[in-house]
Amino acid sequence: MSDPILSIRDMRLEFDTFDGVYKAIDGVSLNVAPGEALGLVGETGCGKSVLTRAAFGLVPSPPARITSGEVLFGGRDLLSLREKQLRSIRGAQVAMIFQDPMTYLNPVFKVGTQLVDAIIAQQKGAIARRAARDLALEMLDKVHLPNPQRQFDSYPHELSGGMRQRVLIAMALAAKPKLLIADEPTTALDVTVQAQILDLIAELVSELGLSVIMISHDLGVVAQVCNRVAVMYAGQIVEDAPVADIFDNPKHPYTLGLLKAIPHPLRPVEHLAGIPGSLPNLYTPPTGCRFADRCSHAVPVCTDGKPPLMDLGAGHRVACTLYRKEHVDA
Amino acid sequence: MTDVTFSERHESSIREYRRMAATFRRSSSAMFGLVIVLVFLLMALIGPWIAPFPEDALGAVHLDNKLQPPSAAHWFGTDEVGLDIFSRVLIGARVSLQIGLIVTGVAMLIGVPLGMLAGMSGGWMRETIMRVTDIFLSIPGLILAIAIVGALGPGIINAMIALSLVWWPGYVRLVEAKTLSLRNETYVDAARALGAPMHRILFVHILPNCLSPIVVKASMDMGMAILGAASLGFLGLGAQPPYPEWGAMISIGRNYMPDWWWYSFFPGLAIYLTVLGFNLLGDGLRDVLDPRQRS
Amino acid sequence: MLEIEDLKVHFPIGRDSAVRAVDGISLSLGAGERVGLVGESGSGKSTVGKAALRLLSPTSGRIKIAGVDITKAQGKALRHVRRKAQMIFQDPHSSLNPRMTIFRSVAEPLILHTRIRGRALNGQVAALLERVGLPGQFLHRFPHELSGGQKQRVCIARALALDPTLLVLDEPTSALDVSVQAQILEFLKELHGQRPDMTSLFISHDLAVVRFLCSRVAVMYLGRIVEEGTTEQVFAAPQHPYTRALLSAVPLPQGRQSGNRIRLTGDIPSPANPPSGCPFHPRCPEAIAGVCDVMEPVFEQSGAGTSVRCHLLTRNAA
Repeated sequence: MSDPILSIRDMRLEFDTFDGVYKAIDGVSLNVAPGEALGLVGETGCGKSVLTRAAFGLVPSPPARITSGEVLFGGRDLLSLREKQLRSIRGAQVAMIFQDPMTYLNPVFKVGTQLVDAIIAQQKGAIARRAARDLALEMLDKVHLPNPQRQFDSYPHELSGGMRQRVLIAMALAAKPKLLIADEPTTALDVTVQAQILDLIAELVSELGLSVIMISHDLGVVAQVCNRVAVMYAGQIVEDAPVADIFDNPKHPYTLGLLKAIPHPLRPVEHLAGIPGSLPNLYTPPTGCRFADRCSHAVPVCTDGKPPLMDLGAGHRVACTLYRKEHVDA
Repeated sequence: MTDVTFSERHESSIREYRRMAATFRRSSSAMFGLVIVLVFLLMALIGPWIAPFPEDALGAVHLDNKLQPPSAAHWFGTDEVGLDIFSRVLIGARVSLQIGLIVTGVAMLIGVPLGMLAGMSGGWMRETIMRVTDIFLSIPGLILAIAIVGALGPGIINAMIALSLVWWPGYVRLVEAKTLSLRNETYVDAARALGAPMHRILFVHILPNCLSPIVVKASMDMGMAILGAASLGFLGLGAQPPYPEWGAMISIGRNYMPDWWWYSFFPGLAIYLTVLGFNLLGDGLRDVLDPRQRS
Repeated sequence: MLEIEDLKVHFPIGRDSAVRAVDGISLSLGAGERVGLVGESGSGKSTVGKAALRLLSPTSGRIKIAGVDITKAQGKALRHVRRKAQMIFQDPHSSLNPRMTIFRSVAEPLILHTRIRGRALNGQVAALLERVGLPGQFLHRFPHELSGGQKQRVCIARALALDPTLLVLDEPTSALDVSVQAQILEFLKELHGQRPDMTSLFISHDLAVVRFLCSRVAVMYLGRIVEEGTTEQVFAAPQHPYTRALLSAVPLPQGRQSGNRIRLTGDIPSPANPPSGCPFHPRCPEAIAGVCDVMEPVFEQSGAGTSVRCHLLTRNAA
C-alpha cells in the first residue's frame, strides 16, 4: 500500500467547559490513502466533525485543547504548524465543503465574483483575473451547474440549495487539492437533489483521483460514495473496514446496532431495534469500552480497559473485546 | 411527588442559577458594576442614618462654614451656604434611586403590554402602536422631556412624569421584536394546538421568554434615567435647590468653578459612577441571560 | 375521522402573486388508519398537517374532524376539537417552552381541558411519562437538560395526555439519530397496537420511515398529491415517475448499490411559480412533449390499485 496522504495518530482532544473537561476525542488513529474515499460515520456527539476540523486547525483553542497526537499531511505534522502555514495548506491542498452552503457564500456578492476571488486567493495572486474567470467557468461546468454563464452573474440567494453546494464544490476543487473533506454535504438537501450531489462527488473522486473524507450520520449516504468506512462512537473509532464489509459483515456491536436501527425503504420491516441507553458522560468517561453499558453482548471484561483497534485481516479493524477472545481461541 | 424535597424539585433551577452566577463572576467589569450598584443601593437605604449632617439635606444654613474645602469634618467640602456636600450626596442617592425605579417602572408598565399586543396582533393594531412609537423615538428623548417639563412646570415629580413619557417606546420596540420571533416558535404553535387561549399563550409562553432582554434593558435604563433626571435638574427643570438632587447640585456648583471645584465635582462623580455601575451590570446580565445577543 | 376536501393554502406575496403551498388536496383518513404523507421540501406536506388542525387558515376547501366541519371554526369550538386532535412536531427542542419544566409542559393540556389538579395531576403526569418510557427523575428538569430523543418522548406524552383520537405527526424523527429514531418509531408502532382506534397522519420526507409505520401513503409534489395507495402497492409497484425517482434516490444502507437508478435532473421548482401542465414535467424523464407541459393530469385508478395523477397512465391504457 502506498503511503497515506493523511495520517492521524493517537489524537486526543478536550474541551474546557464550566462543567469540567469534556473529553471529545480519545486516541483516534486514522489513515487516508491516495485516491481513497473514507466515510466517517457516527451519531451526534461522537466527535466525527471535531476530529477532522481539529486536524486542520479549525477548532478554536481555548476552549479546545489537543493533548496528544500527530496529524501527518504531506510529510509535515500539522499540529506543530503556525496558523499562517495551516491556512495556506487549507486553501490549496485540502478543501472542505459543509452542510449549509449558504453560510459559506457572502449574500451581497455575485457567485462568479466570489469564485474568482477565491481562485486568486488560492493561487496567491499568481493568476490573472481573466484566467481565474476562465478557470471558474470551467469548474462550474465540471460540477454540472446548469447554465454556468448565467449563474456566474447570480447572487447566492437566487440559487437553489443543490446549486449552491455545486458552486462550493467548484470553489473547493479549483485549487486542485489532494484531499476533500465533505462534512455532511447533503444533509440539508432533498433526497432527489442529494442523489445528484452524491453522484457528482463520486464522479469527481474517480476523475480527479482525489482522496475524500466524507462525514455523515447516514450510512446510506456513505455507502454511495466511499470505499472504506470508519464508525465512531463517543470519541473513538470502533470499527474501520471496506464498505462492503461494514454492511455485509459488521463486527462491532455498535455497528450492528446502527444497521438494525435503519428502516429499509425497499423491504418491509416489521420491527426496528433501537440502541437502548444514551452516550456515556464524556466528562468522566468509562475506563473500559465506552459502549459496554449499552451493549447486549457485554461481558465483565469489557469494563476492564479500553479495547484496542484489532486487525481482523483484509483491512477490517474493530475495537471490541469479543474479537480478542476469538483470536486467542483461533 | 409530594414527598420530594424543595432542593430535589428545584435542583435544575438551582444548577442553572449557579451556572449564571459563575459566568457573571468571571467578568471583572460585571462584578465592578455590581459592587457600585450595591454601594449605591446601600447609600439609598441607610444614607440618612449614616450622613454626618443629616439636617443639611434640606436647607439648613451655616454661613460661617461656607465653601470649605474637603477636610476631616467635611469629606467632600461644603457649599455656598455651608452645607456638608458628603451628606447631601449620600442622601441624594435615595432621590436618584426613586427616580430610576419610577421612570423605568412606568416605562415598562406602558411599553411591555403595548409591545406584546403589537407583536401578537399584527394588522392595523400593530401599525398604529408601532408608528406612534416611531414618532416618539424620532424625537430626541431629553428634548421631548424638556418640552414636557416646560409645559408642566419645573419640579422633581414633573421631571419623573416627563422622563417616563419619553422612556416607554424603547420597551415597545424590544418586546415587539421579541414577541414576533417567539410567536413563530414551535412551542407557541404547540400550545395553540393544545387549545391554549390567547391570554395564556401571552402570559405563560411569551412573556416569561421576553423577560431576559427586559431585565437587561431595565438595568441599563436605571442609569440612563438617573442621568436624565440629573440633566433636567442641571437645567433647572427638575428638582429645585436645596433639594439634594445631584444634577441640581452641579447646576449651582458650576457657578463656583474652578476655585471651589469640590462643589460640583463630588455630585458629578456620584452620577458618573452610578450610571457606569448600572451599565456594567446590564452588560454582565446580558452575557448571563442572553448569551446570543452578545455582539 | 379526518376528511380533507380540495384543500388550498396560498400565502400571498406582494399584490398579485401567491405561494401555492397546497393546491387542491383531498385526503380522507378512516378511524384507526395510519396514513403517510410523503414529499420533499416545497411539496406542502407540512402545510397540510398544520391546516388539518387549523393552525393555519385554509384559502379554500373543507376540513372535517370526526364529522365536524372545522374549516371556519373559531374560539371555543376550535378548542373543543383540539382536545381530541393533537400534533407532534419535527424539532422536539423548539416545541417545548424552555422556561417550563417537563412536568409543566406535560401538565399543560390537562390544566387547559380538565379539572384535574394537585395530587391527581401529579400522578397523571408521572403515569404519562412512564408510558413513553421516561423515568420520574426528569419531572422537574428543563428541556435543555434532556437529549433529543427524551424531548420527543416528552412531546409525545403531552400529545397523549388527553387521549386524542387523531394524531398529526410532522417529521417526528427527522431531527433524531437513527438509534433513537428506531426507538421512537417502535414506540409509535406499539402505541397504535394498543390504541387501534387512533388515527394518524404521518408527515415525512423519509420513505423508509413511512413504509415502516403506515398502512396507506400519499406522495406529494408541489402542493398536489401525485400518487396514493396502500403502502404495499405504492412501494412494490410505484406508478408515477416521481414516486419511482424518489424511491430510487434514497441512499440504501447496503454495500452494493444497484446500478440502474433513476436520476432526476434539476431542482424542485418554487411553489410561487409552478410549471404549467403537470408540475413535474420539467424534471420528468418520461414527459410527453405537447401533453404533459400543457394539460394538467387528473387522478385515475392505475392497474396496480393506486390512484395516480399522470398522463402516462392514460397513454399506456390506450
